[in-house]
Amino acid sequence: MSCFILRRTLSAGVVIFGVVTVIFVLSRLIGDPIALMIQPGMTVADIEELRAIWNLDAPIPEQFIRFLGSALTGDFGLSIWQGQPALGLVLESLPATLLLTSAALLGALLLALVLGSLAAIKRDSMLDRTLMSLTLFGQSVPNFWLALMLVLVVSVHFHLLPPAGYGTGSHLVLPAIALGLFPLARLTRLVRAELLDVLSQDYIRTARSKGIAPWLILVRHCLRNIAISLVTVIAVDFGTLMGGAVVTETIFAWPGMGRLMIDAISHRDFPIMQAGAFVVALVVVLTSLIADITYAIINPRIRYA
Amino acid sequence: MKAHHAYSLLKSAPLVASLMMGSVGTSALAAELGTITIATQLDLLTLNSSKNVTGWHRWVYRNIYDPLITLDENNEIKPALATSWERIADNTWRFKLREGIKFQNGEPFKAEAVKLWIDEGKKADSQARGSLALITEAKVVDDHTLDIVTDGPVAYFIDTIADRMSALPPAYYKQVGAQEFGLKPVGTGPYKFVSWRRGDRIVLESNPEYWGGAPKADGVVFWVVPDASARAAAVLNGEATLGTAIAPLEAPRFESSATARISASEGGNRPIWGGMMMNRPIFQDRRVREAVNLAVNRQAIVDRLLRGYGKPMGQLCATSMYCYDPAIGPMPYDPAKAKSLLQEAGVKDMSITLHAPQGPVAQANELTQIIAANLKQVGFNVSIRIDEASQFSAKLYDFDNKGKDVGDLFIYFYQGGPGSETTIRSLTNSKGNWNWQYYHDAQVDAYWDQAQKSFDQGPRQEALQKLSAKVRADVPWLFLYEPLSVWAVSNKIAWKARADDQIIIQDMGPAEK
Amino acid sequence: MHDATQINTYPQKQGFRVRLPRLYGTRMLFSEILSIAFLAVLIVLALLSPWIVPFNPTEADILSNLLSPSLSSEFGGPPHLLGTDVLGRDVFSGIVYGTRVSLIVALAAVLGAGVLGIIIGLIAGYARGWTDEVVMRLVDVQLAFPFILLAIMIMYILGPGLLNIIIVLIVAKWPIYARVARAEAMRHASSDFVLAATSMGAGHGRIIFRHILPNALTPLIVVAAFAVPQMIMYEAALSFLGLGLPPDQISWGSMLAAGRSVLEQAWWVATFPGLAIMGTILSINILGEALRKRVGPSSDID
Repeated sequence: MSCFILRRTLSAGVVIFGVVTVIFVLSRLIGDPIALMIQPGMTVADIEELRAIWNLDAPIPEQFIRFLGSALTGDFGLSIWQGQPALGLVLESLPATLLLTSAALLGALLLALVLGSLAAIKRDSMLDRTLMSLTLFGQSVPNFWLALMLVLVVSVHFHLLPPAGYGTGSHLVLPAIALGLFPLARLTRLVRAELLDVLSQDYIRTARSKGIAPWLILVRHCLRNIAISLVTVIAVDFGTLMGGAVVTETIFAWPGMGRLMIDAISHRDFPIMQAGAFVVALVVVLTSLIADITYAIINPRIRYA
Repeated sequence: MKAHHAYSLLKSAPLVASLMMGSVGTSALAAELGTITIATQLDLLTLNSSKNVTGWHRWVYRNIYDPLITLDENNEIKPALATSWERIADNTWRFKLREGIKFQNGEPFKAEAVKLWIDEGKKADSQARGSLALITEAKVVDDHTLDIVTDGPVAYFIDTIADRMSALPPAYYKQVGAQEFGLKPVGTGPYKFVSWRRGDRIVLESNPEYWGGAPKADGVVFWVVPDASARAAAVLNGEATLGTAIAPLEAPRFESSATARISASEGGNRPIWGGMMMNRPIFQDRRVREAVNLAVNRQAIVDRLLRGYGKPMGQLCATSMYCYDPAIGPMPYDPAKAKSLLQEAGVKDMSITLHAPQGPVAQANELTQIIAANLKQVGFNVSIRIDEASQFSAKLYDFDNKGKDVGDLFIYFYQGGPGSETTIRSLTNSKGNWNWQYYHDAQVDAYWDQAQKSFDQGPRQEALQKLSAKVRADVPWLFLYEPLSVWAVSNKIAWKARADDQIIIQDMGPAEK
Repeated sequence: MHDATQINTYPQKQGFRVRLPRLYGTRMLFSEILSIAFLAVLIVLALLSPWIVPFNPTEADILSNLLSPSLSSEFGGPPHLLGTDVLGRDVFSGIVYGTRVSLIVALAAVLGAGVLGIIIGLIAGYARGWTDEVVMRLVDVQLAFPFILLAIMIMYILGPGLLNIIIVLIVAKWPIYARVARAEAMRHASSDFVLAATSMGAGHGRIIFRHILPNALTPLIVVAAFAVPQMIMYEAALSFLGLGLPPDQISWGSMLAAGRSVLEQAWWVATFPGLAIMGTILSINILGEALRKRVGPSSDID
């Protein structure tokens, strides 16, 4: 077991290094942050001085080695535009993003368990077919479009919830729905499929024939069994959601990492881009690492796969 | 309608009560304004006023700090921290500073506080550096007298520092350092810093010991709402008192609203213009440049795309600027004449690239398409290229290759308002470091020189007018329009958009009954 | 439990006995027929667009902007069936032209990502060892960074353009095919027919592409079917962020983005392209589901 964890941790490290390297290369291709800072009246010497502050005058390989050296000590440098430590700025915005994505995912999961179970138990009923059509529909709505419609209908027309902002629970509802609908649709289908699979197993048939209530069977035997595949899917979805949050955060004025990163990219704020890439990769990799380990604990056979 | 009326009556009841009880005065007013929430499009980069002087930073700074010199609602220069100033030599200005003022932490305000601001602003890590390039040094004469030395005579110097230059508390600044100060600022202004949640909000509270009298609001919140539609919705829903940079296309949302309205400025501080690459053969013929100008229907753009929130232009300067010459009208729309000019010049089926940045030029996609359609009508073949802002500016600044990747005609903006002469000068002077279109004209250079050195209003104005006329005749630019600043204002307050695009809480009042 | 045919057929009402055609031996659902019809109409529109659009969809005519949908024309000439947008461009013509862009982007991206991912995945799964390790870490790297941020950076570097969007989507989506292809290659690598081919002296290339690939194709096709709507959605999202096509080209996503600031005054500008996007994605999802039910690797039916 510990060997498995060690191996997974090692490859997680490799992945994070890979992400950080890719972003470093892309950032150097994307353009010069100093070009955005040139103002009337600045001389060539002024501009060179600016470049020197962030080491941008050094050859790229040297910049990379210096960056790696300080990154290993947790120092990602100062933000070019904000003058504050880049990693600090990223970590400051992380909780808002985590709150949004986990609210969306958790809400989606709970609802999916209920709806998916209903669909599976009432298989081929009107309810099942309606739910399945709705899930297909839910997977067909672009999330930015859903966000705009929610604002227009719920906030502007009916004044039920605030159109944008951060702070209270009511601010969380709309962005979480906008972000959570797609995983909700996906997870509902998954829960239904997995449940149908489990329900056809012999032991369930036995339990049924003993006259145990279907709901009890569901909770006692089935949900535990489908947990494994749910954990895997959620771990993958979590990374996707952090991407989806970029647009949602912008529309709802949510002070999260997605917006910070978009701003950093458009300002060519390299230190924030690099620190952000590191943190996102870390979160995604840790999530899947935890999922893998959980998976290995639940199902010991996986270790040898 | 009736219900709304009853609601507003109910709301004013506490005020009526307080009036009857005799507690009239600023405290009642403060209660009435309560907390002002301003939905802005961008978060600040720093709270250290010496490190950035862009407009959206100054919205916040204006409350925490005081400027040395300010502007009134008509863009007239007015004293603030400095009570008076005079030119004691061609390149030296002497400022008398207000006495008996304290910073919010109790430090007394002295000349060294202004000097510290200038020194910090001139450091390499400051984005205010370009605007302070004219200053060579600041000298403390005594506690309340400061000399500022400029790089040669600069007639418009006062304009360039108005509402920008302020003061930093030296002892506190030294104690916490520049980086920390950018997170926890202290100024002399009417509101004290409380908190900053990045990407979300900056919270300020009133400073009861403010030298200029009690502040009108209990607190001010700057709330970052990057999306224009969301800002409009936030004001319409009553969550924000004021919303900045409302898209003109969304203005009709306010027409039927009982909770909020639109207030627009009289003139625009971010004129949109087109630069023709003068180093390319097509645009060396003046007739072609004029034809481009005559082909574009500015009025239609202003009416339809800007919903009337704009003014067609026909010269370098916008209406709110000192160099504006009312004698020069907007460029006419005359496609027939454009066609005949092109025929005269022997130009047929000329292909040109229209280039614009996404972001800095609002509605760049729409604007370029309208201009392209206009130019096609007079016989140009137009292809459009839109670049992301930073890619675009990198291409502009590629002076080594004579801007080879810039389109033949590029659309851009410049930051207008008082003090913008420096900017326009950089754009049109042969040696200007923003002369991306390679417009070289000895006479234009001479007029700029004359304007910079003339401290007397008369000759200065004359030089600028000649300059404007010359550039109009030369048509190196595709003159376009000045978009007005469009604000969403809650009906809970009385407020009007200012010429300088500032937000000053003291301008606000309770809604008129 | 039920048998498959029963599950896949709606209980038919008395007097309504249309015999729906079969696909893979299973009778098709009405919704599936409808989806095929919808997509067929789209493809015909896309192919014939130059001949059927009443207006040039990219030509701005600012003086007739924001006209509401109507069957009659104000100024003579053809009517604006679905109204005009902020620039006075005909929304109907835009949707017809946008069909081309959206379908070309989606299909080209799926094909490109598919070919790239399948080749890499098959090789990794067949060769195992170091090759496999490197490829899988590459896949992990790609998946550990949000697609949209990566796409923004690449689009900033490449600039707007049809080909560039396709490149971005290929870069973003190859790992999924690589994963599935790898799994399939590993499954088949030790199967009898591969062992037989090896013993007969077949080369690695021949084994991978002649023996493993045909057997791995079915699950890959299902993955591809579900990827098409995803690509359409990504194209729309990129256009929405202003990163898609140059403004003189038109796509559903850019139409949607252009319509958002006038949502309340001119609902038609954003609604119709929105419906086009959703209709297309829904149709493809329904068909993808149909395909998966019948031949899919993780069928939720049997």
